[in-house]
Amino acid sequence: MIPELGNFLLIFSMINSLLLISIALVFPPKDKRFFLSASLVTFLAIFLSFIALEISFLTDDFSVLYVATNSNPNLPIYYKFAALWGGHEGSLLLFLLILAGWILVFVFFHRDHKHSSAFMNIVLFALLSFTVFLSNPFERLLPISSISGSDLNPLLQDFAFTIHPPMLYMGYAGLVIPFGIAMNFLLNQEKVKQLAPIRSWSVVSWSFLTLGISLGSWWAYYELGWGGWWFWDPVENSALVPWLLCTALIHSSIATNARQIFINWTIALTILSLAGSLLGMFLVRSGIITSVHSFALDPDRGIFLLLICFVIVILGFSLFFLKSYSKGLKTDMGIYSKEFMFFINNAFLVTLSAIVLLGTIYPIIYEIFSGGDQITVGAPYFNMVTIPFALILLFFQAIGPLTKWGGNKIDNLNSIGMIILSSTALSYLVSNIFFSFSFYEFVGNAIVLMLIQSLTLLVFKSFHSKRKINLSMIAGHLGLAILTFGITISSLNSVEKEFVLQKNESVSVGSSTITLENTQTVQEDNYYGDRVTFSFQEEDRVLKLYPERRFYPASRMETTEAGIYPSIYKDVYISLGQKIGENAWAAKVQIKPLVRFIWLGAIIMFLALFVRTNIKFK
Amino acid sequence: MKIYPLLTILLVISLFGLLFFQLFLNSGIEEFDQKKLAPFESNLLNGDSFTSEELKNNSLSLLNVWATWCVGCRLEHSYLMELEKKGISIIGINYKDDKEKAFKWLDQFGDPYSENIFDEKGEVGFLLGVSGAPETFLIKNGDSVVMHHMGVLDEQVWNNKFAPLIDK
Repeated sequence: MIPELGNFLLIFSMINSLLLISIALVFPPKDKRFFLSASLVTFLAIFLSFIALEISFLTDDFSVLYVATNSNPNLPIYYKFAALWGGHEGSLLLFLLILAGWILVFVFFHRDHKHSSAFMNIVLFALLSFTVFLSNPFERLLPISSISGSDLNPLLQDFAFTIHPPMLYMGYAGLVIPFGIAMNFLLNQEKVKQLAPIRSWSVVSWSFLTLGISLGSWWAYYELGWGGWWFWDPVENSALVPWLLCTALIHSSIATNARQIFINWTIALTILSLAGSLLGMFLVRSGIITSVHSFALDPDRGIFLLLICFVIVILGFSLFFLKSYSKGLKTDMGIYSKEFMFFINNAFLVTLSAIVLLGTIYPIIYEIFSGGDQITVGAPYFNMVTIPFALILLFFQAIGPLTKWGGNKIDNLNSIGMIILSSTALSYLVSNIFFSFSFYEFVGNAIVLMLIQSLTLLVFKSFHSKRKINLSMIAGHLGLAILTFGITISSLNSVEKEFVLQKNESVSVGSSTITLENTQTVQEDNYYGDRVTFSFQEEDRVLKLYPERRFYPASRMETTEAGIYPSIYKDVYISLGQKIGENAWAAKVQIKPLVRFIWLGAIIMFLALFVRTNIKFK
Repeated sequence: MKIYPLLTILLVISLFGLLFFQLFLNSGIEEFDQKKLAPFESNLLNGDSFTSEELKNNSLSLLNVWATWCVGCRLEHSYLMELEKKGISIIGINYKDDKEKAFKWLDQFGDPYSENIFDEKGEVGFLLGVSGAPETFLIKNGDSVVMHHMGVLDEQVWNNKFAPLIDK
């Protein structure tokens, strides 16, 4: 009964959303409270439908097909709750819930927008109908025999996994809001001020995307057992593309708000970033590419999702070209002005996202034109083409905040010169003394030092003048600097070694010694396996690591759990290979300096969301 | 100025066109490398013995791996019944299962299988390279595997993967 109720509520919210669109576009209501109440009803209906599916999961109702394929009576209760978004249908429902929530929040704060919520509801309605007709999570499996349910993918039975999708969806769904605002602006051609909320909403989206992506990266680091934190996997890329576009959107909308420039460009970016987000959803859910994330699906669903994506992009661009804004456009900017810095920022970010997108779909293009040959585009391509662009971008990130709007000479010339000189010199020394010198080490550290100095200078200046300071920007940029530092040091100075050890045998890695102490078997509710104890001795310190190999009987999957000793200076990371004999194991050890800085930086970037944008110290 | 709208629309259409095309390409017939079938011996659910030699009597035989604990098997069951009505003989492999439950299942939902191998410990499955259930194999002349499908067998899979090989 409860699943039927959930299904009914989902259909109800779909009709409600369609009604809101048609009423808003055909008979715009005078009373602006209409949108608020309609959005509230849609949200509540989806929320209750979500609760209905949760009840089916928590009560092990295996007559529901989706529950039967994603849950198991032995699963701990917390994972039963989170198993709802472990598969295609449920995660789509979670996405819809978040999207409806964002729309409600938007309508609550911006009741003067005539059509924004209608355009957001077009996206909501399209995905709702896709869920109801082609991916219904409430589908029953009747009649039913003694079925005990299959299992949540063991790789996903993990804390980071359970909060990774909700965070990421907060970001993806958030990109619908700027799109709605931009479309409303094009349709009504009111004051440019109407575009102002794009800035805060793109920051909201961006923060959650940052958090979601870094949680995914953290999860991959300790769960996949390879010791990497970024694999240029198609799904990672399809989250990175909207993230880059959203970063561009934040900057472009800041320029639009402050100087009324880049108006059409900001609008185009809202369309592009939503397109990136929907295209990512298509790539993951259509099964067109294979990766840990992809849900194996039939092509019918893929075609429908692709159609949704296509229609929304075409709708956006048609409105953009038919009604593009042309009242008093300003285009002049000096090359020493802040405007020009934002232009560089946008040009590089959009180019970067195009490069990543091309690399991601290139195997598809190649397969079509070569008549079925398959290739993969791997990390070497992405590293080679993205790193130089990223470094140049970061260089301008250090200089940009020190420039002035409308400036026509280099402001702060002395400071900028000092920052560049001192950073380069210091980095040259540091790279030589503490690390074996390499070009990327030198450039990476120099840029990190420039970023930190330029941010410090900004904070320092605002203490001594009455100028306002954007602390949110400081936090975001500082986070990126720390992340860049973590990437530079950990990728260039990691040590790794593969070995086979018997019980009580040792092997030395660098200045430290690893000993296999003992092996034992483990047995839990939902898996069993082997756990090996290694001791890692470095000078006087002895660490214990406990890597495991697990077997999950319900889904017949074998996984490796890396043994990790985390610390702020360096991580020691051991992953088990094959069992060789009675007490012997093949294993791999990796020592990764400062790898934690990557996620520390990402968390600081996320926290930028909660910091005030205008603060006066005096 | 009019060139930008055109270029954008063209770019969007070509990108989406490629993706559409790839989706259709993916749903087409898959090439499959033939593999030799490892010979095996086992018992049937009714207690008789069975060897893979018996498969050589038919030019084509269909092996379906199933179990009562497997949700996908429940899903494909009605389609297997349809195939049986069409006159296609299916040999079942009851995989890592309980004999009593298996009989109950066949009573309740119908029995599409001409014979049912009882693979209690998964030994036959191991020789065939089974990784889970449901899986379906098409065996030619009793000694070569011409198709190995993992997952639920439905009409679409049948028409794309199995029917073309059988018509040949």
